[in-house]
Amino acid sequence: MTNLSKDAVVLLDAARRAGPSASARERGKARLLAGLGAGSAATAASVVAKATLLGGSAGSGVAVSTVASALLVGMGLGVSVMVAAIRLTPSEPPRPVATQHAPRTATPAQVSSARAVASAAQRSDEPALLPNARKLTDNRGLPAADEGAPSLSRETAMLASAQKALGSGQAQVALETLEKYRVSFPEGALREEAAGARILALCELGRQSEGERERQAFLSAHPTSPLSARVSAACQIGSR
Amino acid sequence: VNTPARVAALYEAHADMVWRALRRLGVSGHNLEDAVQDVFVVVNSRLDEFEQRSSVKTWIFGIVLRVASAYRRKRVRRESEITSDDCQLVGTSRDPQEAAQETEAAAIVERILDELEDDRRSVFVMIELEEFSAQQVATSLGLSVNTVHSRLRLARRDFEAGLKRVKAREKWRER
Repeated sequence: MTNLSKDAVVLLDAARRAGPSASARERGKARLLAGLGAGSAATAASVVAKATLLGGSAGSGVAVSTVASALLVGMGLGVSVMVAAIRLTPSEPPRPVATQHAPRTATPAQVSSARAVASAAQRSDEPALLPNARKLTDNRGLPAADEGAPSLSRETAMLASAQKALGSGQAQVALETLEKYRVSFPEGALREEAAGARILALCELGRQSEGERERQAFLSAHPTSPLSARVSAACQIGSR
Repeated sequence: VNTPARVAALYEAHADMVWRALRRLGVSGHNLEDAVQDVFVVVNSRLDEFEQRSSVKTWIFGIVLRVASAYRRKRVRRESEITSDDCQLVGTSRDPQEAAQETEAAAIVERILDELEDDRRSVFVMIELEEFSAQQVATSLGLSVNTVHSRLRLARRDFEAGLKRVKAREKWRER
C-alpha cells in the first residue's frame, strides 16, 4: 500500500480536528428536536437563539487565503516546521493571520470551549455490520426536517435570518424580518430573543431613543435575560 | 423509551462526525445543514431497526454515505432560510492559531477531495479522516477488503496529486 507523504499526513491530521462551528451544531440540534416534535423543542430552540444572539455567528466567515499560505508555505519548509506550526504553541508571535481578510473570523476559543461541552465522537473497535443497508439506499425523498414541522423551526429560521442580516451589517433588513416575525409569532417561543435582536438593530441604525425605550422595556420584562448585557452594550456602543 | 431524547443523545455524540463526513463527501452550503438533518431523521426512523451487530458510529456512517450520495445525485439546490455562512468546518483547538490552521487544513482537504472520484473519495474519507478500518469500510460499502485497499491506493495517489496542485497554485499566487 502506498503511504501518504508527510505533508499529506500533517494536513490530514490538522483537518481531522475540524468540525462544525458551535453555532451551526446547536442550530442543527434545535432544528432536529423541533422536527421531531420533542417536548423540549421550545427550550432547545430558545437556547440556540440565545447562543446565536450572544455569540454572533461564531465560526462563520472563516478566512481562507492567508492561513492557507501559512500552512502551505509550512509544507515547503518541511514537516517538522509545519508540525511545530500546527501543534505547538507558537514561540514567535503569530503571523497576523487572516484578520484583514476576515473580520468575522471564528473565535476558536469560543468554538472549542463550546465544543468541550459537546461530546467527542466515540471511537470503538467494532466488528462492523451495517444492518438495513439496502433498505436505506432507496431514494424515497429523504424528508427535510422542516417540512410540515411545527412553527418552531420556522421561528428559528426567521430569527436566524434576522441574525444573519444583523451580522452582515444589514440592520434594516434585520428589522424588517423581525417585524415579520412579530406579526407571524406574536406569542412565539423566541420572542425574547427577537426583542433583543430588534434592539440591536435599532441601535445599529442609530435609532437610539427607540432602542433605549425598548431596552428599558426589555429589561423590565426579562430582568434575568442572558441577552441583557449584550443588548445594553450594543446600544452604548451605538450611542457613542 | 423517549425517542427524541435518544436521537438528541446520538446527535450529541455523532453530529461532528456526520457534519465532517457529509462535507467531505461533497455536500456543502445550505445543503449541508439539510443533509445533517436528513441523516438524523433517518436515524430516528430506523432506530428500532438498528441491531447491535455494528457500532452506532458505523451504522450512522452508512446513513451518511447514502444521504451524501442522494444529495450528489440530485445536486440539490434548495433555497433555505437558514443561514449557511457558518456551514464550513472550523478548527477546534483551544489555541487560536492552531484552530485557524485546522480550519484552513479542512478547507484545503475539501478542495482536494472535491476533485476525487466518488468511490475513491468515500473510502479515503472513511479511512484517512474518520479512521475506520478497511474491514469496516468493506462491510459498510459491501466491498471486498481487497477492493477497499485498491480504492484507497488510488485515492491516496489522487489526493497527493491534488495537494501538489494546490501547493503549486499557492506558490504562483505568492509570486
